[in-house]
Amino acid sequence: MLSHEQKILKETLGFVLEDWAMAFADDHDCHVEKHTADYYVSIHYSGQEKGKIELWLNEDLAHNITMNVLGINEVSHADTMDAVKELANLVCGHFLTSYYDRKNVFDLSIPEVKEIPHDMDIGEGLPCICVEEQSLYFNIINNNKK
Amino acid sequence: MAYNFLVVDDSKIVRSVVVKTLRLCIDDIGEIYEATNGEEGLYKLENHWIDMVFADINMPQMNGIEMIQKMKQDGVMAIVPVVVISTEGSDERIIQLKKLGVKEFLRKPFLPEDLREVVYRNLGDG
Repeated sequence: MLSHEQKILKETLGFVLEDWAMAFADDHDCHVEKHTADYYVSIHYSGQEKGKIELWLNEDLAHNITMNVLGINEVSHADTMDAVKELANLVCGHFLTSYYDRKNVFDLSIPEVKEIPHDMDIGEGLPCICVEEQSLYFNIINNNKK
Repeated sequence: MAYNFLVVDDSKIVRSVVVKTLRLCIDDIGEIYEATNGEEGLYKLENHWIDMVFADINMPQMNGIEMIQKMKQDGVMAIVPVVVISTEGSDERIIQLKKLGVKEFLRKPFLPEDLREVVYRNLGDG
């Protein structure tokens, strides 16, 4: 069961992916045997509260997002890494105005993206959204919550 | 009259989208310069005639707000209209930016027609 924060984050992910990358999320969860991903991206926010948003996604999804955003079929690895960072940036900015009052100003960090070994299981407990039959895992850590 | 633009964003993908949208939506395009942070942006402004600046806030080395503050201290750069393109959308942030002299604010992801409107509203239709 998702927390209120996670629900808002999931809705934000769906909106951003649709609006920015023309990638559509499904209502149902993706059925996967193993929870793997190729990219991990995180972004910190600070203001009224402090926290971090994390996303995990695989190469195919990252590649499709990049192609859709740029409107071209050939994209470089650097473009894909850049798109993953921008996804985190967009999701964080929109999450903060959806979850908190629009009067609050937050500072965002520069997103950090890391490649992770494909065979590494990232864990079953992470909430996920199914985008074009690919799993996108997400998490939010609110430092003000005990 | 052809307009020259400067796009300041650390993300290559964002710069590409803004450049592509400008080329599609604006009839009379001159040069489109790109910079990856505020420092580079100021350098381009010092060395080229720019009619409008599109800037992100969140950038390494020198962020968009620092760049705009420096621009406002310079007699020539101060008159160049700045449009902030950012993912942040708090009302207070927009008020802060307007106080700094920012002409317009576009929230990412934006529509091509929003960008077109912003250009023509501030520069006229040539």
